[in-house]
Amino acid sequence: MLFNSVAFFLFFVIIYSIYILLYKKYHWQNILLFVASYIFYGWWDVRFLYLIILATVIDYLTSLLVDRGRLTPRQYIKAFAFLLAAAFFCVTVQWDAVSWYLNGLKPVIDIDWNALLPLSIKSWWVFNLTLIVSIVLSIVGPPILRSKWATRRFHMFVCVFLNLAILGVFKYFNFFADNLITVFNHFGFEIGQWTYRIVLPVGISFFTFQALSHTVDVYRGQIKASDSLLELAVYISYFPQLVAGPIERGAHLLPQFQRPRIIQWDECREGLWLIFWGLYKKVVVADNIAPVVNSVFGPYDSMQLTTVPEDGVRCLLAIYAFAIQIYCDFSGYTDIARGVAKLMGIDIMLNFNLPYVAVNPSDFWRRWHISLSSWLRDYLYIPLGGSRRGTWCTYRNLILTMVLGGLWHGAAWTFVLWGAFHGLILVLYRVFGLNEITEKARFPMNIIYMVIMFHLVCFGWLLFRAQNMTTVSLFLKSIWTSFSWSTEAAECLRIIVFYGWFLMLFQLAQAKYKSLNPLTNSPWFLRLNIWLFVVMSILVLSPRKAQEFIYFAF
Amino acid sequence: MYTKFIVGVVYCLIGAEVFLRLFAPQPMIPRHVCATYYGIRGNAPNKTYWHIGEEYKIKLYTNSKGIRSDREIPYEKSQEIKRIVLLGDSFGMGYEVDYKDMFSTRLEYYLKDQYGINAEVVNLSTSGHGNAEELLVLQNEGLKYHPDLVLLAWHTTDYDDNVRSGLYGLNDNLLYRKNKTYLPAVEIREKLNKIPGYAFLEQYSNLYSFFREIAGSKTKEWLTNIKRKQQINIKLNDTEKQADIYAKELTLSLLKEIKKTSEENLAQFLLLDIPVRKDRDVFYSNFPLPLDQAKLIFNIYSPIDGFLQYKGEKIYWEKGHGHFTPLGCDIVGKGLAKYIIENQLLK
Repeated sequence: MLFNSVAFFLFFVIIYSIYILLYKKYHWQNILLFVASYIFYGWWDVRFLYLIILATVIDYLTSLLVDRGRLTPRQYIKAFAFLLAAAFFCVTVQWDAVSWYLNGLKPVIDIDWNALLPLSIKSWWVFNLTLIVSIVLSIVGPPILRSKWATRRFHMFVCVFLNLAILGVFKYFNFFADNLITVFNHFGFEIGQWTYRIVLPVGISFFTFQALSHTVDVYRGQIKASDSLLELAVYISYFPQLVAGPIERGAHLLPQFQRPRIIQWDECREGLWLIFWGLYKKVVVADNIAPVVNSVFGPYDSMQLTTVPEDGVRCLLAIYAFAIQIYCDFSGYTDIARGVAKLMGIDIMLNFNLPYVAVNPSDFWRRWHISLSSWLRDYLYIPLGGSRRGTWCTYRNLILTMVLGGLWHGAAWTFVLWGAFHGLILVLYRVFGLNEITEKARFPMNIIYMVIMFHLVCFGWLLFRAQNMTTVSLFLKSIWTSFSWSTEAAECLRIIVFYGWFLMLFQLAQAKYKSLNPLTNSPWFLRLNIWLFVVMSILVLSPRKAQEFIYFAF
Repeated sequence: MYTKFIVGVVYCLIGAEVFLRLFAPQPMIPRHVCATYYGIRGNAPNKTYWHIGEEYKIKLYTNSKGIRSDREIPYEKSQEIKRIVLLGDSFGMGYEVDYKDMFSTRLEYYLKDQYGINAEVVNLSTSGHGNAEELLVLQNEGLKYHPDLVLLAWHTTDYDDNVRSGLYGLNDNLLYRKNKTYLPAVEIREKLNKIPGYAFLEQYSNLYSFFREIAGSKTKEWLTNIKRKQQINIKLNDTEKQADIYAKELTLSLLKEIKKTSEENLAQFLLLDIPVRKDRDVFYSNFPLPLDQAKLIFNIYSPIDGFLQYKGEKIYWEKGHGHFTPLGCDIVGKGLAKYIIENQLLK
């Protein structure tokens, strides 16, 4: 279910109306959010729900073990009953056996009972495996928990291992298997295409990171483990930020499900603005600029074309266009997620803070995908030693963190290179002391540093968008050797300016007034006109067919 | 407070109109249709109005029978004239082109100029018609003109139009009449027309045109989905495929029925397969049968070869509603005239 679709609009109107009716009954509101979030996620593929429930159960049990060192039978039974129910209803039951049609205007539900609950072993293997694991754990679990191995650290590592295993299998299995095949083939061992193609569940990188960070925070003593499976399930699956973040922290989001939410008019007003501004960025800017990017990169995707593009200017414009597209696509999603949550009285963390006005790489990562960069800092860079173990270790840690950050985005070498490139520029800025120089700079030098940083980021986006290194080299060669103007380049520029001018103006205002919502203190007449412009742009200028968000793939 | 609210709403409406004119001018294509005595929509008689878009400004007028023509056409036919009754939707009606540029006018011209045939096209097309309505138009109106040839402008939208109208259905592959009438939004339109200033808005407001098009297309989509669901009683996964098969079979049956009706009344039947445009030089047919198979059943003319000779030129409007440009109409008119002569359809 896409935020920019009629289905989501209707879904949200219904859920929000019930949410308001349940005002002051926060436990019932949590149940509603739990059901709504699972419907929202199951809309893609109901089988994926098993994975999110598995992550929830792992996190629930391990966080309790980390916090208290023991589990009550009630907690254990509750968790595995939940998982078994998920295995049965989400994987075993074949929901495509249920169809509907209209008899006149009366909907009729048609169920093929034979197909609904198949009797083959293949259809029941997830349920059977879950059942066996739960029985085995109930037998071998108590002795293990009494052993010297069962330390808080051990439970935390079990949580990290299992969450990364889910991520590894579903996101990276094909990638590593393909590379292994290539390596074997290179050395003359023909092992063929034996890889089992695994479907990538939407948003898996987001919810696994969110789940495991909760247990790590419990281990660090920053929060207490939640006794309520419902609250933890809502924390991990909360629908506005489920599939593309921000990656929330237990200390920030979980307590908000443990107390009544107060919905204030100012919050609602800000929430509405965030929703419309996010939609504007997504459907007006990103979706309309996407064809410019695709028209240039498209022929080079999957190595269809291997010749140097004739007009370098158009290639450069396509890279700029992608920089705008990916920013508007992703930050648009975050804005909508934050806006929707604000309407419910829930605060979600800021994820973007004018990233293209950054003057150095550290500044950029403090502004771009803040929830991921801070996650990598807190759970990877600092545990690796951060900057406490000398210069070389700091550089190693920076590059390693960024490479893994790149790999988080997708199972492809171009993402690894993108991460390595960012790691490298972080190191180079440190080596030459450029961080201090750029941060102290005043006008006009700060503008020059911004422009340099923007172009470095754009080089990164070329690595990110290109599907192979040949495309990267062809584009760079074209920009370098045939930097010529063409009518197609003029059309690209026209589209970028037509759809991007208001965004740029607004971002300038945000930077000038140092506020992400400069409308708050502006005259009502100006606010009215900006609202009118944004709403009309969404209605009129958005493409007819809703486009997916880029980060759903990660 | 009340006054402030009214002023605010009026300001927003004016602002929205200004926005559209500056950033996204809308083609203003009012439709003037009314109910006919046989239960479907027809063109409102004696109307003059404009189609205004970025690429054109066109004056449309209808005669006392609602036909887009510069003259009255009696039912009786003189001996020296060959009559062609044209059935179709907005393509047939010549939306977005002048009367002199319509493909029906060009067909008359080419038949006379190049082949010396004094032919008269009676254009009974109405925007939004599918083949079900076209069959009723032929039975109730078209035959009164004693046609020598019935020409049907077939377009890919006819699939959905045929299902949505619910005028005909298929039972064991046999065509049967389902509903007596199909008059979508005609009553609302008649009421709106009585509101002072409505005609002005319809003709000149970008904002009105924008919302009317959105409302129209969404309602059509919704109705089509409902009608499709009503036709099919099968598994959800297969519904779309089955619905497509049903729509194709219904369309073919309707076309065969129109052919049969024409031939029973001593008129030849010719199909014009209006291509779908993918790009300026990429066109394809979406007819329910491949053209070589269709030719075994129907006289069918496709202008794709003619269009490809003008590779890269504007044959369909690109900023309006995507109907033929004058060039597109001319290619179609010329091609139809040639096809008619070669196949001796006006003998």
